[in-house]
Amino acid sequence: MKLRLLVKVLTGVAIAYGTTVALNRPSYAESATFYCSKSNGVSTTFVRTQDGKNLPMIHWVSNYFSGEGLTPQQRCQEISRRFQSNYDNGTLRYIKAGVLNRQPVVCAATQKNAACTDSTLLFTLKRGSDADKIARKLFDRRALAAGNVVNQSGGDTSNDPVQIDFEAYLYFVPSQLNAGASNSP
Amino acid sequence: MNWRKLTLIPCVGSLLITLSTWAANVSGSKLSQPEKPPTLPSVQQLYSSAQGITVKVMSQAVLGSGILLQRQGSVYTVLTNAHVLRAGGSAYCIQTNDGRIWSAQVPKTHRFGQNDLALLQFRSTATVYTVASLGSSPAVGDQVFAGGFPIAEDGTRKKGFGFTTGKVSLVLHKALEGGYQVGYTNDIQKGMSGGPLLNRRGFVVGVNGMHAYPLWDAPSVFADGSEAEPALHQKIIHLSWAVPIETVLQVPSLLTPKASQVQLKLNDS
Repeated sequence: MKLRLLVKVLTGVAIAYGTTVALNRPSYAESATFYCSKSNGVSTTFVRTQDGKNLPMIHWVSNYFSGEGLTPQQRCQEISRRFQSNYDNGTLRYIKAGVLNRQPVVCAATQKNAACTDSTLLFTLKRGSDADKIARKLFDRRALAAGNVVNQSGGDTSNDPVQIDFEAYLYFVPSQLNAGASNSP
Repeated sequence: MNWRKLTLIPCVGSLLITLSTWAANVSGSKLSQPEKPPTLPSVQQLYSSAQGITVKVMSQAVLGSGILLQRQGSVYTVLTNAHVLRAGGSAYCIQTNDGRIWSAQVPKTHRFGQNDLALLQFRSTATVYTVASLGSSPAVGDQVFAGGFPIAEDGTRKKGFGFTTGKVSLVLHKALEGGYQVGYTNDIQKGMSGGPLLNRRGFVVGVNGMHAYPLWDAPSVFADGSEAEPALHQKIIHLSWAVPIETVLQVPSLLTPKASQVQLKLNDS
């Protein structure tokens, strides 16, 4: 009996908590929120879905590109913000590969054949990366129900750089944070 | 290969926990509806048979689920989604219901075209596994059961076998991109792609692959490239979607050694 009471109290707390969260949500109810949070200690871009699930999108694993001036946490926050702004602007429909400033990039797009721009840029890839493959994997996350998170690290068996840990090949050019800044040599 | 050993233990543990919890829950629910013909399996039996034919597809991470489709001698063919394989590397493993992990290969021949289907094969000489019995596509209103291995929200912890009930809500005359044609109300979570959709008799009638409520909006596109009208699009995104089993069987080279048997099983409904 006491247990049942406890359950009810906990449920009440949960509802109250849920309500608070709902009230604090910045935009209208039927929208998704992209945010950076830790998952098992790893900076991860999450999406909170319309039906209230928190799904990981991208793990930002290593300090591989700390030489670029951004920690994984900073890249995670910046790229989560870019997902959100493209979502809010209605430009996050497709995710496609492109070229920007002579670098392979992954960007959001309203049309499958749209070109990448500074405002639709999601992140930059190292030269030689298979941007099409990465874009496809990310777009698959939209509605298809595979289990893994893009950029899951830890591979030690495959020779394909994308498959080993494509996380390690993602980096972000700081100057591209300022849209339109000239960062081409 | 230490990671294989590591994944094994939590998988098996969670399976047992899930099963016992589920059994406890089921006992109080409306299982023995009197209007059901006595020949139908119980929901516990459906759960068990679904669990027996559903496997976990893994590479470096858990990619999704699969269905034990066929056995030819010691070689087992697993059916899953193309996007499940796309999510991982080129080295795949299968974890069967007994917790064993098998190295798996993609058969050389490319069979499914644009349909979101793929095959894996592994060899087991020691253990004999039951493979799926195949049905035919369900109709609107049919009760269906979806199986698979949902991942936890943090993307790492294993939740064990998932089994959800619902009914078919929409069957499209024209398939969506990837061959998705059967829309149903069962909850499909990340990780359940490639798992079976079963009818009330326990026959596999489809392959799970697409969940309701996409993470962001994009047009629903048919296999022929045309886009669904807004009203239909709204219906589509509120349902889970499977590729019907007939689409799998349209591939002539598939299942040839047991074609007659498959034909028999197809006649069930």
